[in-house]
Amino acid sequence: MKKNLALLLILALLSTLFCFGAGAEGLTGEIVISVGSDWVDESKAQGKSFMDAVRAYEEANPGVKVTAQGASQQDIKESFQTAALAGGGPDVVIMDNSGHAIDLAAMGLLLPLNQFISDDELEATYQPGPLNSGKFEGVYYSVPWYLDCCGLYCNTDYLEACGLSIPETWEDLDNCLKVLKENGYGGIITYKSAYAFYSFFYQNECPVIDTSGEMPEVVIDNEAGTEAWNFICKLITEDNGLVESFKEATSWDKVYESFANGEATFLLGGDWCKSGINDVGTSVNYAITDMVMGKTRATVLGGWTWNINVNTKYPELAYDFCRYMSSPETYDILKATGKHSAQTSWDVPSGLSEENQDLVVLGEQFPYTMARPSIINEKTIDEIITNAILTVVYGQANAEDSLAAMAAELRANIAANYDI
Amino acid sequence: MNKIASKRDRANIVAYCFVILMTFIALSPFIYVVLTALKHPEQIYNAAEIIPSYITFDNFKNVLFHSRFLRYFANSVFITLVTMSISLVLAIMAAYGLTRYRIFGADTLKLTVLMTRMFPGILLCLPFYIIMRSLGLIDSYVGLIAMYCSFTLPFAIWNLCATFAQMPWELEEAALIDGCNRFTSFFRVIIHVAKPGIMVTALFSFMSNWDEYMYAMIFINTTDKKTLQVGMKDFIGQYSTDWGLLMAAVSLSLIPVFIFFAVVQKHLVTGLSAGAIKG
Amino acid sequence: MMHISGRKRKNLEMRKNWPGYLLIAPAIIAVLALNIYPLFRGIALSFTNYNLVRPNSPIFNTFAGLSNYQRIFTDEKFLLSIGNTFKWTAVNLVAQLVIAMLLALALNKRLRARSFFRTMSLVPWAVPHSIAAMTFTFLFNANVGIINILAVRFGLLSESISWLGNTGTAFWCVAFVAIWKGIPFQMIFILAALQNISGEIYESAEVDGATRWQQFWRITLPIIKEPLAIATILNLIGIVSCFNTIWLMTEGGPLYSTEIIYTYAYRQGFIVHDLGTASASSMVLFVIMMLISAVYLRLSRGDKEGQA
Repeated sequence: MKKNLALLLILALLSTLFCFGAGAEGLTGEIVISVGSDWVDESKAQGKSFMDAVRAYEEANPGVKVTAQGASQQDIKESFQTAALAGGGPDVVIMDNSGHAIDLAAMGLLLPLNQFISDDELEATYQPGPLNSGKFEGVYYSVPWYLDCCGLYCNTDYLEACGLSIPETWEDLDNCLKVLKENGYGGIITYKSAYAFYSFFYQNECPVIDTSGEMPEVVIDNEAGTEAWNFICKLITEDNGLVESFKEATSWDKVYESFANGEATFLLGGDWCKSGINDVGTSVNYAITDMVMGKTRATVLGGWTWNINVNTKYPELAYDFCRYMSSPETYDILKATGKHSAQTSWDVPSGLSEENQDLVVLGEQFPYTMARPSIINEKTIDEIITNAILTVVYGQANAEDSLAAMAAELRANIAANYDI
Repeated sequence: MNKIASKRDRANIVAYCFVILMTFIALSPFIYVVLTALKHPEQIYNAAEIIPSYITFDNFKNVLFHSRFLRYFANSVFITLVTMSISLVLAIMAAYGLTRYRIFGADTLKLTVLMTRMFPGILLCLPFYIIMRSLGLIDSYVGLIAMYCSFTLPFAIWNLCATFAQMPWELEEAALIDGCNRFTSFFRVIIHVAKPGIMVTALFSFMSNWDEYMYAMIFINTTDKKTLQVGMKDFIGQYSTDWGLLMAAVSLSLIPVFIFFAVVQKHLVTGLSAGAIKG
Repeated sequence: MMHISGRKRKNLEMRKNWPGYLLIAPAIIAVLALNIYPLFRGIALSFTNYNLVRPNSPIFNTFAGLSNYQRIFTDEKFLLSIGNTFKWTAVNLVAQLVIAMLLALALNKRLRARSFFRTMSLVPWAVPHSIAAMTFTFLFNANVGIINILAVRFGLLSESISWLGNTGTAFWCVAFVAIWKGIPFQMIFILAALQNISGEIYESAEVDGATRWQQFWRITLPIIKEPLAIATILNLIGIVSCFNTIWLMTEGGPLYSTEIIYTYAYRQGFIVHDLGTASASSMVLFVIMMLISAVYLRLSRGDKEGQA
């Protein structure tokens, strides 16, 4: 068994070395992969490049059959969870790196990667942010695929009209919002979740929830966290910094629409917002830039990962396929879609196509981008923070009370999911 | 007599106004769907283009010829019609049995059947998955249809029981005297008189299966086997929604429902009021 | 002696009624075979420690007694969701019943183009839940939604507001969509029941000088009462499980102002991943539904016996 594994490792290594090498020879079996519907729709470049890569894999490994099943992006996790809990489900599934993999790993539904590859090797191959988004109890579960960083989209028409330049620091942002408000322009729009707001905590060197120890520890109300929270609250209350549409932005469409129609001056979001804004059709001129800087440079990370079902009959094959899909061999897929690979060797400007070069600035944030806390039920954590923001938006609580209430709720939640 | 007639006229005018108002409220979102389907992408979020100043049929073309819409459509029609037929036959049998024979514990049985629908369906997905998996019916229409039947049957049985219970026994007795046996009297008389109830039940069964998303999403995985509701979700991406295509697909998907509605409502009037008793 | 003859009679009755049993068997078996296991599993889970994200905990999948219930009843969000469920049900049921009744009565008249109006008034039913929710979300949009545009143009609002994003308005907006979507279902049941009333009854009542109001209460309502009761119960089940509309429009927010027990159960099951509390809250809903249905059926049946 060990011998086989070693052989497999060597072969896997070899295949990474030779870009279009024969792959892990001798692998046979049939696997089913579950991906977003866009990836299997071959009428568009995105699906075409993806399915080409899948076919290339099958050709390189004659005994292998890969069946790709498209599912709605929003429902992938739910349907996988139900199927895997009942002992079935696809062998490989892609997952948003916002905590889903951690939840599934905690449920015991994912295969840990340490049986295929050492942690050192993983850490050498992939960026730490996306890798950590799939780390549960010190073990890696997800093979990172692509990633994105939250950036700042600015309506330059409005900024010019007010004689402002693009904000670079917290003070700049605060000042911008004040002046914009005086001149009757709107402030910030972003998705109604904690996603973009994590950045402000990270910029003040507060990880929100410290997951480095054995037990996750809520640090959102430490000195740095309080400072960041007060800053967020100041933007909301004093500067009237969140536009009305934020309250109903439960889909990204709403975010693009608000920005493209000129309701908001700033948009906080990742690379996908560019095509979103352009699809809405807009006459505003805007610039894409990195997030403002606090004490330090930081922003929040997103992206997707490859995960292996614990019920799979062909674990080696499943892993090898995940490895292949995240490897330089399939960079064409990323180029076709304007995504950044999570590989450490990825070169940002050359990885992006001609028309996406304005997104390079977001890619350059890689060195200081951080994943959301890798913690069980991250979605609930997100909900608690979002609700705290909303109580401030509605004027139901001040900064101090909302922070205390939020911190208490976060602690109670973690206690319920961790201690014995 | 004149007074009554004018009173009736006035009542009719009130009724007209109310019906027109309700029809407007019922239709306006649907009109919005169709208008959106006729728009170019840049018009969709443009407040000045709520009624488009120029239109395109590209969305319809793309949905019909460059997506799997027709395939999904056919799948849905198949599943819905099969489910509807099976549950109608079973429900008519059961309702007839429950109302025309003395069944021990009939009321309890009916209540138990209805009870099964009162527990939030979303949480029953997992146990259903376990059953279907042990039967080897994951990713199969047989499994999905079986589940759909079990979902619609309680409603169908209840509704048909109410319909049958309302029909006077004399009708059947008269038919029996005329030389029919129970079987032929059923087909010659009961079915005819109970038509409104049966039609409503058919409509209900059709609609609830046509609209179902959750179970179709979890139990059907193969792309070519997907139902329309699941397939239409393809137009909704994680970060953006193709509203034009989605709305075009929705508009097209409503066509069979409208046809079905038109047929059903025509048969709604042939109950007792159409003179089955008198005739 | 008495006992035996009683049983004998029952046997005889069984023999006479066997076709009845035969007729109901397939449907009942189909429903029970597929539903009983999931249902009992759901009930059992509510008494089990079943936090999915802690499968290695020593108490996982052990008997929990009432602790899941204790947990949800000390959760403010759950208590809020119970209140919202009652409010949601009452608003939906009353509005749907009244409008559907009026509409059915109107559409039962010999109006011109009646079949056109009948078909058109069913349109909301034809629009899938998810699409209805998304379309109305569009109409309520804070920036480009037609409702805001009209309200501002006619001076009803000084500036656009987020209808779905404010705690005061979200509930009513979502309820409006659910009512819009629910009317045809209730209406068509009533309309079908109205077919059982022959027009002659009204004519003779009219000659007797009965007002419309009297006609409705004395003639129409008693005849359609039982189908109406059943339609209402079926509708009630639809209303409390109106998950899609709520989830797609507000996700139970803002600040849980549109959270009903169903969405709470979903949240517990798929976001908090605790099937124990998810099932316990479902059980609460289940019991409430059973009580309402039992009382309602008893009432409508009791009246009938009183009349007879």
